[in-house]
Amino acid sequence: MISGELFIDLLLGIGALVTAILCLTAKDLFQAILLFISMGLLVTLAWVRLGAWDVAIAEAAIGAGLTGALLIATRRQLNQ
Amino acid sequence: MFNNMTLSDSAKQEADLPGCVLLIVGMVVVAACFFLAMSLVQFQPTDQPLVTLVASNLEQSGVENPVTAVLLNFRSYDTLLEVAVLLIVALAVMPFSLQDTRLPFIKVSEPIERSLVLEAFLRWLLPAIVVTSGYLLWTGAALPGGAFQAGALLAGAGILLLLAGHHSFNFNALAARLLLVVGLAMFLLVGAGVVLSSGIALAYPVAMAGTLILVIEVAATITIAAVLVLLFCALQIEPLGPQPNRVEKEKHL
Repeated sequence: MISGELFIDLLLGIGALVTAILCLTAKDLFQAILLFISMGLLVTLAWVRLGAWDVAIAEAAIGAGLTGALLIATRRQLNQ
Repeated sequence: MFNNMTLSDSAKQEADLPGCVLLIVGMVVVAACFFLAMSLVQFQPTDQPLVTLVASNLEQSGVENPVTAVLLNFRSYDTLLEVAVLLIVALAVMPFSLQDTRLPFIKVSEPIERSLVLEAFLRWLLPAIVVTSGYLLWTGAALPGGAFQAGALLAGAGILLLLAGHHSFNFNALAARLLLVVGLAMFLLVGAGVVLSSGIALAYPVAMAGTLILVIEVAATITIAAVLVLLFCALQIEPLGPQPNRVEKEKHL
């Protein structure tokens, strides 16, 4: 019987890996960006589970939030 | 377009790589992963000399959060260089027209398409973000938080403001340039100023360390927020500016 905490940790780790692979293999750029943002959020939760709150806040704000906005703006430029 | 050309060129190169090269690269990556996993397995939670070292010197740092103590006191040289790197990034993406220097930093105009939901939402959200950012900055001395997190949040507020369409920023204005350099300038000033009392650059006197760190962090927060908003602005306004490099870098990563 797997304990609850280990289950959550495994889910976060595998989820981050799966979203990373999906992000790299996605054909559509917009899909890839959204997957990248989701991976950022999963990694944020992983940092929280590791007790690294400083890194978690930075990852949530920069990794998931700002980079996502920058990538979407870049995509818009590419489409023009 | 140049962007598409870069993308398709590197895609072609990827396809042309011979199988043995791919095999060698794959083996190197697998070996690196294996050694990393092995070191992770052998790493005991008890062999962390740095944790005890930081904990025993925390009183001298002027702050209670060990992460902030390392970032802004024990290894402040690294953080100084990080802020300098941000300034270089800002210089690389600055809009290059010199005519806008005399125009004001913030321009208010009627947006092309109004989003009423976003506007109404931002009326509530923006003050909350600014207050949260200030809280993160202040609490960084004792709890998780600090200049980078606060700056990133503030930049998020700036980007949301841009998306609402009523305001636009002119980063050639004098005020904007001041915002972009104040972090590094304050860091250098404090770092050089403490030479007078302690004799070593960036070695803060223990009694004033907390205040000096807070001063540096406030300035760094402003600069980080300004640089991140500038990045977004550069992508929004310029049709062909810094993106070719960005795309290339992403592809090579």
